[in-house]
Amino acid sequence: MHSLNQAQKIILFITLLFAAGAVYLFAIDTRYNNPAYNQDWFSLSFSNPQAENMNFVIENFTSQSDFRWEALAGKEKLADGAIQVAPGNKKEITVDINNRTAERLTIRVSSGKDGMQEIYKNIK
Amino acid sequence: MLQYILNQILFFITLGFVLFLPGYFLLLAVFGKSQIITVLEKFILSFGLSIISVDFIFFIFSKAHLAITLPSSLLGIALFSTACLGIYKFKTSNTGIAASLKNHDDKLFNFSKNQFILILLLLFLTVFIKVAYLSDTVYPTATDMGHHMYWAKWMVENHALPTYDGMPDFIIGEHIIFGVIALLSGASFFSAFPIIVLLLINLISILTVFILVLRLTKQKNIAILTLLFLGVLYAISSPQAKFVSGGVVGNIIGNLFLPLTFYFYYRAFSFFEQDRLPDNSSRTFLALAVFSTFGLFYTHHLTAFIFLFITALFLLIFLAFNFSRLKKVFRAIFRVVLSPPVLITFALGLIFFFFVFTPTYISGSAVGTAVGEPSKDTRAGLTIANLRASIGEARIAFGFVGMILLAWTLRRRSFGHILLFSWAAMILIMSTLPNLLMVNLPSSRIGNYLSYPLAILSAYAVYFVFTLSKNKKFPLLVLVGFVTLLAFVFVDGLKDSAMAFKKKENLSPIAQTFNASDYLSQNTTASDMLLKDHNYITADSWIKLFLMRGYKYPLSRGYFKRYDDTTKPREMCTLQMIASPASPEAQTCFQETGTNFIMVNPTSDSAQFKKLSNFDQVYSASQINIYYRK
Repeated sequence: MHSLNQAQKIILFITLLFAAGAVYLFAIDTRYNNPAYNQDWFSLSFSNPQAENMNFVIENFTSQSDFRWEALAGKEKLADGAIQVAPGNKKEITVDINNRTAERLTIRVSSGKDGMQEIYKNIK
Repeated sequence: MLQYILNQILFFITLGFVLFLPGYFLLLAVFGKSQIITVLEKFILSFGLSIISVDFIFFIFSKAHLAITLPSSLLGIALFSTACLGIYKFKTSNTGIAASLKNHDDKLFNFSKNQFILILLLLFLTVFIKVAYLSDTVYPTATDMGHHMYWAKWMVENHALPTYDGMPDFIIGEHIIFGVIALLSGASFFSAFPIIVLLLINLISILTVFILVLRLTKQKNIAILTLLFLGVLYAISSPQAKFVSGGVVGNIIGNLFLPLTFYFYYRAFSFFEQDRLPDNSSRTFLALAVFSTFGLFYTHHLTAFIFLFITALFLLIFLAFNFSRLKKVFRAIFRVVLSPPVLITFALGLIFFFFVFTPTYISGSAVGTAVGEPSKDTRAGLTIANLRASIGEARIAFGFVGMILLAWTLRRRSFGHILLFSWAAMILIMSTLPNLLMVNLPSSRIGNYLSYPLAILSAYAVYFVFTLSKNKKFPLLVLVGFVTLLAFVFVDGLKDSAMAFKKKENLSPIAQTFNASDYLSQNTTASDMLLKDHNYITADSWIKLFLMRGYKYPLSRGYFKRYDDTTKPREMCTLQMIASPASPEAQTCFQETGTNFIMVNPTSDSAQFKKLSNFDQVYSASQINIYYRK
């Protein structure tokens, strides 16, 4: 370090400062991209939005794994179940519903403290 | 973990390869072993010159229809750098050239121990405050950044330079470096990499101002004070860290190129200050100035437009001061301008500009619309209150004092001071009295450029007052008043930095937008049409990076005020299809646009779709709902 002149020391200092700052920002960014960060939501979606089947996917960004789902025709429950989806993972659930009298078929999924989501397809 | 570390190393090597090496080797080729620019200057100038060099390399790729891939990009930049290195080797074997240019600037760049420590401290604070602020905004949310990164990603995916579908608002120089860095390092556009690149450019722009001020004023203390006023005080507000996190790419690069270009012009014509004749170095510096000017025009039309106005004012003042010896002045200018390096650079620049790769704003209507009577209230000029808000109260006050003091010292030989005065005065006029110059551009956008020259002028004012007080030319009362004002500067300037330590925002809305976008990219095709809302969806401009189906895909419901334009009729479909999807107008819009997917915030825009039997809700999360229209 003593053999460096002032200009070289300034260059080295600013390079190291920038590198340290950049590494820190990358580290923050990696943490944000980690599903384990901000564990407070999950998504519910149809496997195929344009098809008629009611298969659906739960993608879990909560801290817990237990979900309950139910399939409804109007207000009538046709099927239900419990499923485990590990945090940061997603799982597809196949449902076979043959109710063609209701106007709307709904999938409802709840996850304890992280709330409830529902999606639906209109039949008529 | 090992992969993460390797990715980091690859990213930093890529940064050096793209943003430093080409410019460094170019300077070696141009100056050989000459020490006419110091080591510190060489380091700082290399970044700006690299960005411009890389732009020109890829213009050649575009003209030659060469695919922009990882190997070809690597080869293109390596070939350019090697060629420059070859010229340097050739030159240095000719000792005559090297010996003819000696370093006269040792003293100017030789700081006292206290000055040196102060420089390091100011640099540390500059980086620390900015990084602290950016650590909370590093996640990709900014609308501008999303738009710009779309084009950079387009370049990576299509292996060509974007043509922007003729849109004049995007300029190629804003995107090439991002595309190339992503290509070579493999860094994701959704990572911190775009912000880190902009942070680097922002830091280098501050350092460029530092060396420019050192050259212009020959006063180390003014240069150090400039670091304080530009780097540390107001380190967050526009156009500093906020523009970095906001992805205001053109301004950030423009604020590097403007002082870079001034630096080279100043070095080219500084012989006026010493009343001597121009030498070879003047011609070399002018050639670099011309090269940088073309880089500016290839990167940001607003900055280039401002540059032209500053140059016009500079010429007016300089020639007025030298009116009695115009013949001598023009003879000296011609001796520099009419030289092979300058003429060749200028001719090559023109060939590139008009025949190799023409910026979209040249063929578009951008130039025409920038000149004329202000067409909107936002273009009618800023008030002093507006300026105080955007530049900072204290910096405005000190800047004005500095401007008056500088005006007082202007003489016919003071080339550098006239340049500095013109820089501040012209931006002040353009932003406050645009009518006077027939400038029809958003005044606040121009006003942001004022912070750079006003920071220098603030430094000049502080230095001037303290120097005079040292010589006992000021009464004690004035000095006490000035010190009080200085304390106010620190409080006001650092208050801005307090934003760097604000509370962390909830990131799940951003993650949900990206998750929903990913869902659509997997479950729709280009024949489907998506409409999303810009008002209530976080990071919505990044949706297009998942889909990559055109810049205007998906359709977007913009800010509500945009639909209330009394001056011209606006398209209303994007508003009606979300606000009242069952209305006859919306039905026509659905037919005409083919829209079949709608992405909205469930809290704000869900009830109207739930009532309709021709809309299925196919995706649900707490912040995003997606509806499918049958």
